[in-house]
Amino acid sequence: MSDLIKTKAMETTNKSLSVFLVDDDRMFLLSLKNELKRRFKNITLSTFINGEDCLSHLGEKPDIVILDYYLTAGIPGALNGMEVLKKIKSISNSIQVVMLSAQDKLEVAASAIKYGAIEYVAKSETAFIRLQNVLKNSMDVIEYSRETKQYEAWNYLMALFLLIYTAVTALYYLNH
Amino acid sequence: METIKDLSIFLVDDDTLFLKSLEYQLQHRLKYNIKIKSFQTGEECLHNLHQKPNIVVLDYLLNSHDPDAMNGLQVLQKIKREAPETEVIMLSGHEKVDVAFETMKSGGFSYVIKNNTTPIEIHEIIKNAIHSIKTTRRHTAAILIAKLFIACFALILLILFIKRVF
Repeated sequence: MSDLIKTKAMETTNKSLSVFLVDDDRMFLLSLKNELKRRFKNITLSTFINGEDCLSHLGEKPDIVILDYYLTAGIPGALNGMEVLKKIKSISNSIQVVMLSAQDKLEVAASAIKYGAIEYVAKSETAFIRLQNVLKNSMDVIEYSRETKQYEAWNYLMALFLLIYTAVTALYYLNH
Repeated sequence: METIKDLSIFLVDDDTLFLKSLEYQLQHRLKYNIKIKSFQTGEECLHNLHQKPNIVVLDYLLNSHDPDAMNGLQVLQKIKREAPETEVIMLSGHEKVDVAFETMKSGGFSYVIKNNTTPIEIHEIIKNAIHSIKTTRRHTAAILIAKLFIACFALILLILFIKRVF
């Protein structure tokens, strides 16, 4: 029976995680996508070159969004990363956002954290490795939470069954 | 987020000033009941590993006082061997791809470069680590309860069987 529970739990965890990548730098976007694809087997990656596209696809329920801060290059009026972050968080609080930035600015880091980003990563030599690490950690947490939910549902069911069984036996012995 | 009981954090850095300021910042920023202990060398940290810290914040270069001291990666690998549940955050003064890569490969939780945004980043990463620890604990508890229930059912079946036979 414990095997059965385990396979049941595994089925849900094998459902792939959905990750959105948002950056106006197409080169960086493509190389990040390839790198993540190579490293993680069961994730679905979607790439967007501006914040508006990302927001209009939020219906696909991404688990993680990797968002560049500077999205306004060449397009006047475009949303920057912080505004996109605020909008994402106001739509769904469960989406985890990682903020990327080309410059290491204290104000950007502080406000990203303030508005609910889980991590702030500067675009530097080690950015890919750090992003992979962040992704791995959040994937672990999401998978564990899913598995825990499954186990807890089973536990409630078993508790209920046990309760009914005890009640029935108690009634039986009381009547005889 | 609810609090975790007895959360303990080790900070390891040979730069005393950085150590003190980090300790002060964390003490004031984190709203949990946390015990923070600071060590200047990796050996000291390993010596106190029996206190089972939940999180270790480790500097990569630890040899400014003693040139033969262990570096952060060696300490990380020892910690992971002796207390695998401990989450380790690696700090580094200079950005090095191989150190970041090795940290990840050895099971480190995160790699952070020391610069002006470090205190904010570390605070956030510690929060994530706490969340991860909590998720793991809840997961373990759920599995344990499931096993208990299965044992319960097995016992009931056994009793029913014995009753039938005798």
